[in-house]
Amino acid sequence: MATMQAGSALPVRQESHFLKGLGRWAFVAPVLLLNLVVIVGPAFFGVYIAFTDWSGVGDMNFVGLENFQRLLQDQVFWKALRNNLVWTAIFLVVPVTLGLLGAYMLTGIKRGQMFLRVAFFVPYVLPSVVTTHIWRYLMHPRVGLGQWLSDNLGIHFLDISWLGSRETALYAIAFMDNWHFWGFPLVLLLAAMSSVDVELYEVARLDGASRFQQFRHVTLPSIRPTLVFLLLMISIWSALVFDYIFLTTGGGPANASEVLGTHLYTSAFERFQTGYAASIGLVMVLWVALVVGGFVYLRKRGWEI
Amino acid sequence: MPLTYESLVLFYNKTVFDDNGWSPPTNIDEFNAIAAAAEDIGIFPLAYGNATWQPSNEHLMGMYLNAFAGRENVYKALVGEIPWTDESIAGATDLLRQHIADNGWFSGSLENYFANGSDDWRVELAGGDAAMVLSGTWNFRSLGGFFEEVGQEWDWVPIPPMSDMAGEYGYELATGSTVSVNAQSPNVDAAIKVIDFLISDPAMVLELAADVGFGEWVVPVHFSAEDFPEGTDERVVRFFADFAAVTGEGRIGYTAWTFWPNDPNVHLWEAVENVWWGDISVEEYLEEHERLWQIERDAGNLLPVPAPAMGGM
Repeated sequence: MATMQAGSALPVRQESHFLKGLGRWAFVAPVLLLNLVVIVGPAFFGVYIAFTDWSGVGDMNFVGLENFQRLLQDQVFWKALRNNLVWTAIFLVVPVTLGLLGAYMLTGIKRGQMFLRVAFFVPYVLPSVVTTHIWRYLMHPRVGLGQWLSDNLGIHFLDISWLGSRETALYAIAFMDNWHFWGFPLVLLLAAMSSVDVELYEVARLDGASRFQQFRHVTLPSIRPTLVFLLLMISIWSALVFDYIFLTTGGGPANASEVLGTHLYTSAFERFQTGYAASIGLVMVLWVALVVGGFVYLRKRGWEI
Repeated sequence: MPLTYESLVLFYNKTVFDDNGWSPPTNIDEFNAIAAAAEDIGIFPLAYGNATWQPSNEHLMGMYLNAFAGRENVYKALVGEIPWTDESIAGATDLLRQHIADNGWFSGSLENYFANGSDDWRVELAGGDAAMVLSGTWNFRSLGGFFEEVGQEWDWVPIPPMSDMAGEYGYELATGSTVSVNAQSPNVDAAIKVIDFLISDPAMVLELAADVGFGEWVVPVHFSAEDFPEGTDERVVRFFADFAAVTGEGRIGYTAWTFWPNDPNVHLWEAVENVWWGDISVEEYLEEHERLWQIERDAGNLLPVPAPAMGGM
């Protein structure tokens, strides 16, 4: 039962609860304030300018849905969107498959596992500007690895201009980004696999399960939350891809490797059509919202992810 | 006022030219002859690439527009007296398309051009794998190092006129950056004094320009060859002396990054790749270019354009 203290309008328990709540808010207030200033505020501003003709400086006029109507007719936008989808498909399959296989094989290695983990993870910590610089030379049609293999070993099929050809540019950049990225899923999945109860494997072995069957029926179900989290993050990151493409082809040749990020950049900082660029940004936000929404929906349906 | 005051010229590997008894080209026929001779000895007529700077395409487009369509036609297009679909502009665009796509003159093929970064084409020129480069005078800063490393020599000449429309050679005007005073500044007068101080003494300005290799600091308009600091590269002095004399006569050209509004500027260097790959025709490209220019004209976004000396055809 609540008791009243002299001079206080609140029961003691309520007052204590209130002060505790106030104390918690006081702790998170700086973060919330920072979030409001650098995330929420700019986000709402970004949504607003998507409906204006703002150049980035000067006056801002409301133009309704004009930027979005232009998006529908912009062939470079559709090309970029398609390339983002191709990029997503590549990254959902290649580094995840490599990471799964690599992690599963590493679980069977006791001596030297740490060395291999570090070795596979090192490319992930290299700055993109370094990685792209190295690979740009390795893929160069005149001084690259393909040219060397052709001249010295008679292997000719790799001797092409990987980044200079419209047919290969996007895939060549995806390859170099994969080279840098695949150590991350490997380490993440290895950590998940390491926490799987070893008794499950023993039971599977007693039941006569092969190594593949153990992987299929023990490992995969046990690491599902980590795996789904990885797929979710890759789907989001693929919408935001920018640096590897900007640093290698800028989106060329002839928009062959254009993605939403590079198209947004050109619109905002070359054409100075910030309002239009913001509308491209909103499409990227919509992409991310759909992915996260799908994830939340599946969890609500009872999926263990 | 302009801080980086640039232009574009034809750089060539002097060692290769001397070894083969070639003279730098002064017109399109000589240019074509050198290109053919270069191919005969197994080197690229020209080196270039846009892998590290996609807008490098606009260097080439600007040079071909001025050297083929001529300064008068480019000026008329800039001020709206003729459309960008004019046959002089179309001819310039198509000539570049032929050279870069059909002939593969720039570093061997279109695919190589797109794979080449700025260091790659400098290596090709300095190493004698390419005879010439069409590029900007900002290369005065860096080209020498590449040549010194391999013991070869470089030199430059004005870009040769590529048609009868072009008249006598000239120099494109290009401003890479400006020093400006914010009109809203509470210290406008003080800011102007600082700029005055920095530019009022020609000797000091030339010292500053020399320190950054004559690519990143304004050079005074009125000077003579003797004003340059001791030890300045003769080729650099020769450029600035001729540049001042020739542009003083109104033989000027126009670079896209200085005289084009933003949207048509990006279209010029971005969509031209679709022309080179054969996705769209020169006519389709220029029709869209004209449409974007019309939007800028209607919005009053045109930049001030100095008129060239007329009647030079």
